[in-house]
Amino acid sequence: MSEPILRLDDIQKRYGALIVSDHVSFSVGAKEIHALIGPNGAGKSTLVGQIAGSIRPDAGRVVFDGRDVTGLPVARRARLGLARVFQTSNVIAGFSALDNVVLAAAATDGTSFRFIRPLAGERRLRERAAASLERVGLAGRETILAGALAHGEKRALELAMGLVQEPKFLLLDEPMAGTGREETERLTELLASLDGKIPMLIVEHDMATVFRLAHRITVLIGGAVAITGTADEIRADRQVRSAYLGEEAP
Amino acid sequence: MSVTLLLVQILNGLQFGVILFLVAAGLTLVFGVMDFVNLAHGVQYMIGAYLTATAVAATGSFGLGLLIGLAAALGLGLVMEFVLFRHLTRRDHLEQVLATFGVILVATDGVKMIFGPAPIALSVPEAFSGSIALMPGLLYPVWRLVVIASGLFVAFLLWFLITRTRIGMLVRAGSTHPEMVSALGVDIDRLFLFVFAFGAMLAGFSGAMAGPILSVEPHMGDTVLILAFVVIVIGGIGSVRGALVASLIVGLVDTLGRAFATDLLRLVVDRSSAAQAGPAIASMAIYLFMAAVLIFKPSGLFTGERATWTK
Amino acid sequence: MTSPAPRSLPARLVALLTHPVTAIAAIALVVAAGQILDQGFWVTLATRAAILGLAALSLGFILGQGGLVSFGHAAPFGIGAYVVLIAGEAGVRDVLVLLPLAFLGSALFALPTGALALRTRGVYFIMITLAFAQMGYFVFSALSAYGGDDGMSIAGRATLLGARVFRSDGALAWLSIAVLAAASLFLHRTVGARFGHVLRAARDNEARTAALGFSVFRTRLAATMIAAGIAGLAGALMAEQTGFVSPSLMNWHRSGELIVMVVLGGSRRLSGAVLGAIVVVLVEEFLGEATEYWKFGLGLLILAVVATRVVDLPRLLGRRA
Repeated sequence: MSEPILRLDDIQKRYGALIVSDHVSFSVGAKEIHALIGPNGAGKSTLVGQIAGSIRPDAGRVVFDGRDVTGLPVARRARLGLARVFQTSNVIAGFSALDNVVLAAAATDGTSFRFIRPLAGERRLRERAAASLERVGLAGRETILAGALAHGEKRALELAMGLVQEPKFLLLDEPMAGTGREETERLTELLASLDGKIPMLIVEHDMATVFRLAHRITVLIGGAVAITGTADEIRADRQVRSAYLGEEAP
Repeated sequence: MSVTLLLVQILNGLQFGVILFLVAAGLTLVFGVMDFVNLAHGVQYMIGAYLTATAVAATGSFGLGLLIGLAAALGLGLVMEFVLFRHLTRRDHLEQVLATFGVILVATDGVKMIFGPAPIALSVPEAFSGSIALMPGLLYPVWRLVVIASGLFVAFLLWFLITRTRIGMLVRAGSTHPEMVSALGVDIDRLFLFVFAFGAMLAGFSGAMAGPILSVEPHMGDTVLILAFVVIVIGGIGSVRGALVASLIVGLVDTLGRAFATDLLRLVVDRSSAAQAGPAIASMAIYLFMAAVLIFKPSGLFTGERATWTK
Repeated sequence: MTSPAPRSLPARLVALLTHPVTAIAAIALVVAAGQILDQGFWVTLATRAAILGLAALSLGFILGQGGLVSFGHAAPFGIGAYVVLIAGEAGVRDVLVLLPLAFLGSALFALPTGALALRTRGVYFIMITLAFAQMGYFVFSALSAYGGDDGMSIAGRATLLGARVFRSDGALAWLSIAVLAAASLFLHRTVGARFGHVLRAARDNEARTAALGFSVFRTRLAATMIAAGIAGLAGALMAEQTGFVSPSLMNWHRSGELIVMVVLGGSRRLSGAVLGAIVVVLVEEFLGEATEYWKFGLGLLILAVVATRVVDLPRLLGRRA
């Protein structure tokens, strides 16, 4: 495997007596779709926060695209090409669907300091945004306020916001949470179509999606990495079966 | 600068800090428990002084006047809470700011209409008038010592109420887990009413104690209110202990700064620039202190637990 | 950001009233009428509305678009006025120098104070902006070289390239209207431009905006400095109009009144602030004529507005304190 896009190096984080990240190390390859699974309370969300930059680890390093980003704030990491899709639908509710994506596209030029030229007049951005909306199946919904979209549509919109940034890496925190079956299948196919183009770390409960997409899977239990391996290795692992898949240990 | 002068200024600073504490204690609880921005708290301080002055003049006795004044301040707090503030507690901060600013305008001009814009008299009760010699060459007004003592007594009382009583337990719980308190069957609105009215009475008491030292006039609450904000920012929202420590710091820094900044500056610059810059620097001192706290502890010196003493 | 065309008559009326040009045109009309009919009082009143409208407009920008409830906007306003006084004492009298200086002075004040206040949220932000403004008030009260508590007269009205055109109240009125119009145009462009979108996005969803790659802190700080600079322009014009500068310009009641103006006009609409300023100036003038206790009336008006919830009250801060 070539140089990984993301490497976690002995990440440690505790809240008081509670250890939420216990010497976590794993990496995501440059063309890899990597899934992070684990029971509730395993520390997945805290780990996502530490990768995105909203949470600082107590110790350890986050290396992104060959660069130590451990001390960088959220916005800087985003500008380096790390796009995040949130667990709960996290869109700008008061903006239209198109404006949400236009804003995301604007962020890739890295500046908010443009005072005179109307955002609506930045044609190149709008074209990119419209294309991204179409890609996730939201064509025709451009002018709807993001807050008024159906839940599944919001998830798709989030993805459109991530994709329009042409990121080097997608951090997906439960992208299928709360979506219907059909929607889930469509989003899964969309992500599968990006296989080999954009590396991803995907946190997901839906095991069908995980096994369909992921090249490798890391299982987090009690804040620590229990195992990293292929789908088959994970299926076969006894510790995972007992702690995570809920089967009795023989 | 003599030792006596320094001691006098330290006592003055303590006394000012105590006045601030009495105002800030109620305010920080209202912030902490209800997340409610009450700009009108200074009005309660001002009205407390007016009510007491009026009652003292009518009865001829300071003690009786103070009691009536306190009861009236408490009553007024209850009425304000009932008529206005309880409807604002779950609204956003902008609405709270607007409404309580409206109360300030109405109350300030209302007092001006009734009592006139000039200060009214509230004299030190006879028993505590005059000064005593704390040490040879150091005469200090008895009343100011009474203010310090009563402020420390209130601090003790608050500590007792918050740590040792059921209502104090509810206040502590209410500031951190309001939904839990409701689940216990406690009416959170009544808890707020209690905290609010008690805070109003403390502010009124503070105004009554300060009345004989400062002047009783319609805008007396303005300065105190903003300094109380500084105190709360330094001490941490909801922390009565933080309010006590921060009040004393602010009182001391402000008083000593105003007294000695010019003299100290003279050590490094010439006399006339010291006379120019001294007062300006002194008036900035507490705000610079606040800025320093914000840089190093953005949520105040006593944070983590809101509205508590002990933890 | 295109809104559907209003159909009904009332909706059209509201759209017309709140159109950015309407309030400014109304002020200009009063000035013109005052000049033609020789009513100096109209000109003075309209100038005051333009100046306070300018200050309220700048506050409305950060409060409405940015969701930042600053209770200290009187400070940059007052600093702008003091820049005119201090520069005048130093012999600088030309409006082409004074106005940029006032903008700069106030914006620079907002740099450290804004940076500190923006580290906090909600109740803290309100208290800290108020406290820093009060610091400005006390500092200028202590500066005896510039009149201390009592304030001081400025050296005389400003000049334009050496010409003493502003000796006439009318010329000053048109200058104020021109500055108001220019600031209004600039801010409206900014609201529609990338900067305004990021500012609103951060107001609605700070975490999301940061995750897209925008520095929310820097955007807000820049907005705060722009708003402070424009308030400084208003303060400078106020100093020119009254010919007198004192710490009372930075009294915290003025900060409160500016908030009232913004909310009265509807804080989500940038143009509302000017409308709100006109209303408050009229209340002050006509109530003030009847009674010296006009603030009592203003207070009742505020309480009535809050009570009936007529106002365009955005759920600004309430999300997460």
